[in-house]
Amino acid sequence: MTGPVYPTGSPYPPAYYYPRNDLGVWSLVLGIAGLVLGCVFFTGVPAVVVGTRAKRAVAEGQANNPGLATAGIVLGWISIGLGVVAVLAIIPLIILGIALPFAFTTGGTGG
Amino acid sequence: MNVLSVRTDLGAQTGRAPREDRRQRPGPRPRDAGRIDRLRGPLVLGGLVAVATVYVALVDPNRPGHYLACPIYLLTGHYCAGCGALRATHDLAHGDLAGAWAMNPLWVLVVPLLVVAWLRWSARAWRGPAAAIRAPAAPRAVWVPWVALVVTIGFTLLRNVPVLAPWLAP
Repeated sequence: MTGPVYPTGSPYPPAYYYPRNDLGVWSLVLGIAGLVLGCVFFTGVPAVVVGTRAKRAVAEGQANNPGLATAGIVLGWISIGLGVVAVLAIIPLIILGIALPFAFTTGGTGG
Repeated sequence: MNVLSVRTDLGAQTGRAPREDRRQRPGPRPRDAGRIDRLRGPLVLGGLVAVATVYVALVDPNRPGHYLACPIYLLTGHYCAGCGALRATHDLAHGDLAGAWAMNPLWVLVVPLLVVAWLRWSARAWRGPAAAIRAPAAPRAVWVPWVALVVTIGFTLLRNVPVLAPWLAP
């Protein structure tokens, strides 16, 4: 037998070997929620922050799910990017909304 | 919290030294100079949340013009999971549990969980890494985030069903 020997004899390490695997899951869940529910910044930024903490936990041996953390970070950045695009798209609409009433009033139609 | 780094011989190896080594001095009850450092996170977050809550309590979100309108509601006309959370917070701050429940029942259920999580975080920060090594915390449950995701998405869907709107919509 090679490889690590776990006390339970199970091929998988018990949960207490990796007590911070929740961080990667939280990151992925926040990333998914950001895209599914459309709350871009509120979940995108935490997804990246928690995902980075999950990566650190993996490096410190407290977690073994770097894939989930990477997925969460990527989805988080996609959420943030979509949020930036949405804000940039809304700004002209707001300006238009402010400007249009004036355009009509100065158009000389007399209301 | 890097309190479990003593177990790295069992997990992946790393060149990173545990960050809180310098606080794990032996000796009978050393003066805990790091306590202020450790409590800074909980205190800053708690202070920000307290200020925001007082603002929401004083400035009524039921009256228009004080807060930004939700872009999701403006664009789609649908309620997201957070719709009514500001009004519910306002009601909770005024002790109106029924009003808060009518605005956003999920938020009313989540707020106590957040308070408990903040209290546990503060307690761990108060006790410090030495206490955490003597009595390590249980591993964090991995199913909690998945349940949170399913509940949030389910709540979002259900509160937009017209039949359920009287109970779930703001």
